[in-house]
Amino acid sequence: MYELNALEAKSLFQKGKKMTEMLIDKIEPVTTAGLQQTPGIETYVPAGGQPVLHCENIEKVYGSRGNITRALDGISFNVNKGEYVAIMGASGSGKTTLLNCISSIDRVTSGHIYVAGRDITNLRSKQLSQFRRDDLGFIFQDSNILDTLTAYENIALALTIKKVPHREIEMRVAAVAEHLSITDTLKKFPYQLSGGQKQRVAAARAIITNPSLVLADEPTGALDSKSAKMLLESFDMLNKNLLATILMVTHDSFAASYTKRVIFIQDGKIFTELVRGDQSRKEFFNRIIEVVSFLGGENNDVL
Amino acid sequence: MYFKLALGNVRKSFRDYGIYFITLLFGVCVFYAFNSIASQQAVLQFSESQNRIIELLAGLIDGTSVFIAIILGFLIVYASRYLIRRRKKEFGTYLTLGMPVGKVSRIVVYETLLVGVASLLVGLALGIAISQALLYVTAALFTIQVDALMFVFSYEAMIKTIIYFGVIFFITLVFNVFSISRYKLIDLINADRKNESIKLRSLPLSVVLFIISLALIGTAYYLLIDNGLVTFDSQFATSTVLVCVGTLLFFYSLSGFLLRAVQSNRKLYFRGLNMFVLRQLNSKINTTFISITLVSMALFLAITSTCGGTALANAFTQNLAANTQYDATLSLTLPGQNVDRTGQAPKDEGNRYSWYPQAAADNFDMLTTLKRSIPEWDTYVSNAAQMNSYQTGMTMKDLADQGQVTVKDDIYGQSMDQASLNAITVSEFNKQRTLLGLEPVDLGSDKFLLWCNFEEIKYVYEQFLAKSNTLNIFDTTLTAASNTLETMPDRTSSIAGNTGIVVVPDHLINEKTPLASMTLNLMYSGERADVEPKFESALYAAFPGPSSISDNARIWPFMTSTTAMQMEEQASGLTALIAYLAVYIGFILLVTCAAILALQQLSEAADNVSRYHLLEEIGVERKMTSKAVLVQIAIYFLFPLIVAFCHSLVALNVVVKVVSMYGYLDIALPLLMTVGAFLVLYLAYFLFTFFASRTMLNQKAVV
Ligand SMILES: Nc1ncnc2c1ncn2[C@@H]1O[C@H](COP(=O)(O)OP(=O)(O)O)[C@@H](O)[C@H]1O
Ligand SMILES: [Mg+2]
Repeated sequence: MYELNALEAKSLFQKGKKMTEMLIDKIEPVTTAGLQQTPGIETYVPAGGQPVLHCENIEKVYGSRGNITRALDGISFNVNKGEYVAIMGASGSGKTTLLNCISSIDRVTSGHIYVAGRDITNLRSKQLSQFRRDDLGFIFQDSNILDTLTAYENIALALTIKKVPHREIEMRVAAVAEHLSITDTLKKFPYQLSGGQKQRVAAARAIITNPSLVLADEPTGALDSKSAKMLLESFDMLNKNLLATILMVTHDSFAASYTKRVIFIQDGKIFTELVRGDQSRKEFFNRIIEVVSFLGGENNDVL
Repeated sequence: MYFKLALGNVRKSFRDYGIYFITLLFGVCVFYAFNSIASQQAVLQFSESQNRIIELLAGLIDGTSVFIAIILGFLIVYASRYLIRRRKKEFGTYLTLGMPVGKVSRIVVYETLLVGVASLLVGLALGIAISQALLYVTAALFTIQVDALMFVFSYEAMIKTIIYFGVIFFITLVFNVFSISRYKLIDLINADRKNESIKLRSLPLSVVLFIISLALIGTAYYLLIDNGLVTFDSQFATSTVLVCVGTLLFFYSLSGFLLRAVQSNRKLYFRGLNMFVLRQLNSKINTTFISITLVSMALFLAITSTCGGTALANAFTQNLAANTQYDATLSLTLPGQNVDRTGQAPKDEGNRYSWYPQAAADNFDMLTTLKRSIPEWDTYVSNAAQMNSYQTGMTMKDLADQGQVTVKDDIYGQSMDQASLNAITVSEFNKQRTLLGLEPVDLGSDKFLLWCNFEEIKYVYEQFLAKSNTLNIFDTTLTAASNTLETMPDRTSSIAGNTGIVVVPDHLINEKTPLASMTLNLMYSGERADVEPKFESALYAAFPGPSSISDNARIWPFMTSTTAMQMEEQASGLTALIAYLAVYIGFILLVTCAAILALQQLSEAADNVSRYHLLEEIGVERKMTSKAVLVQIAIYFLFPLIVAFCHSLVALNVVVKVVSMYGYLDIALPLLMTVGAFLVLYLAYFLFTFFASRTMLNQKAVV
């Protein structure tokens, strides 16, 4: 029942490629509005038009009087359409909290988060569900796919809950599976898959709805280096060919070096950011390492 | 300190303990209430026959209680194992903190004791309240006037309840401590993270198994209906085995079949959370199908016993009025084959005919002897009519053969070979009719009537009358006076039991015709309730002691006496007896089944928290997840019930046929009432499970 429509997949793949090329042609420099400028750091000029994600001075405070943790302390930044951004920081710096707030799994204490132009900080429960369903894709460290469903069904789930007709589901699953090279594993159950395959299934599910924003929290955290590399290359491909906007949280400099921009946070604040520009991945990696060692001091905590 | 910890635990996990505790309460309370029924004798003014019924009931409940205790014991052990499994992680934490295994066990012991003692106390209190209610139910069933407020308490029932449940809790305790000591720390800590590999069965195999299971169940149904519950032969055994195996296979393959069936409709399969729910069901069936089968069979037992019991009791009371038209019946059966009215008693080695001279002296008229022994007879009895039945030398089968009637090959048909056919004179027959206010009939000198009211055999005579209108009897050929069967009662009894008599013209009978039995039907001079006590005491004073066909026993002027009021009392007693037993067994079985399903689903919900959490993360709306939970739990509650219901319908259908020999049997009302009461309780457990599961799944979920 899961036979792959190879032709379909190929045409979709090529369509994505073409659209990327078209988009690249249109790229022009745009000034950033509302982006907090940290003195002493180069300013990033994002490509494309309106920001997909716009965080405005968000704060998150845990606990009550006497015993409070300021997990996020006035964070503002933008992610534009088609961007591939990493958020780095030491353990406990607030990365997961930030991601949870953006994904509306957690609520901010103050500030606003706009996704695709909509303020999600004051959405009601039902609208939040719809928002997560239609605008977001998730990939977590412990691959969040259902152990009771096959890989195919896990990917299809993102569409069935949107009431997409089953014929379209078949085509889209086949296409995305081809992209992520998991066509052969579609019939398998999660316990029959390797960690890397599971993460790629999760990625497929995250991307298949064409979300405005894909969020990934330490997606390579539980993978060996070879699988991690493969997954990161997949992300890169999703970003390039399918124009996915990806925001990835990581404390791994190697993972971060695959992205186009890295935002560093420390104690709930944005510390600095790096833009890859025309640099090679290797050069970018070295720059990231510099910041990380500067940030970490003793360093080990971070890497 | 450990006690405090235990208390805290119980309070904390009240959601888990809730259903366990409530079910325990039910168990203790019902157990006490029904075991205390004997003590109602101390409070209510029962008649002697009612006393006997109550004693019989108490004895039956006593025996049944062992069975009930085993069922409840099974439930309690099962439930507490579930509760411990749910808290593996917590015990793991205790162990990590350096608490020795012995002390962790001690916490479990305290918890078990705590819940046990609490449920015993509260359950007994509730049971005492329920037993007061039962007192009024009994009074109503036995139509006993209740004037003052009454209170009944049974010390024995209380002690018995404490002992039975004490033993159950002790066994539970041993089980719990044993299972704790077997856990390894690493398992306990990783309890949350267990990556249960899902055993896969091939789906086409499921479909094949499903079809086989249906075939097995169908065959079992066929065999049961064919066997008709008349004899417990190998056919019945085969049917039982087939239905058990079939049901097991049914539940083993059901989820796979459903999955496969829905998968074949991809539009349906890939809609909403359908595939999720089906996969969920399929992933758990390996661990649940045995208990689901047990639950289904227990439900089947509960429905059938409760419903069949109530229907049987109804059958007794419903046909009672028709069968007790005479106020009383005195009768005797002749002890030998060749007793006639010539005045010559048959030669006999013993003293079986010591009564004969007396009977002969009174001209074989029961009334003459009775009136002489009871001088005030006429103040009690206004009318009486004797009826002798004579041997014809034919069996019932002979009559059927004459009319070329094919006799069914059932137990009644088979016994027609041996059963002798008897005859009575038309004049005595007309006397009975007069007693009942019916017109006498005229047979002339060469006509006959057939008289039968035993449901299962009536057809033989009806077909005889339809096919032929002559009968060769006493070396004469008679023609039928009527082609309808006479069905008026021949005596007062609890069931219509006249298996067939030929009414013949008087001239065919003479004093040499051997007797079969003698019956005297009579009507009181006043209201039954007024006359009967005086009549009975006069009768028993004049003719004390029991009678039987043994030497020197009383045969003349009557062996047995039955009165309409006795029959009514017996019937109401029987109704009460059956109703109590059926409710007792049915209720306990039902509550046990519902509790097992509920616990299973709650534990399932606990395992599912992370899955539902994930669904919410990817944006599935609450409404959708709630529906998925509902469907999943509904399937678990519904299918065992549906299967049990189908089994019950077939079994009851057969039971109805067997019971219908007692006359018309209305199964619809008892069935509806039983099913209604059951459904309410079942629904309560279902709803509790659903809401508890939903809360559990929503609790840890995202904002
Ligand atoms: N639910 C919570 N309650 C209280 N404090 C929390 C909670 N979640 C996170 N924190 C605190 O917020 C800070 C940031 O945590 P987190 O976002 O998980 O960091 P990271 O993902 O970067 O390691 C930490 O100090 C952590 O202790
Ligand atoms: Mg984190």
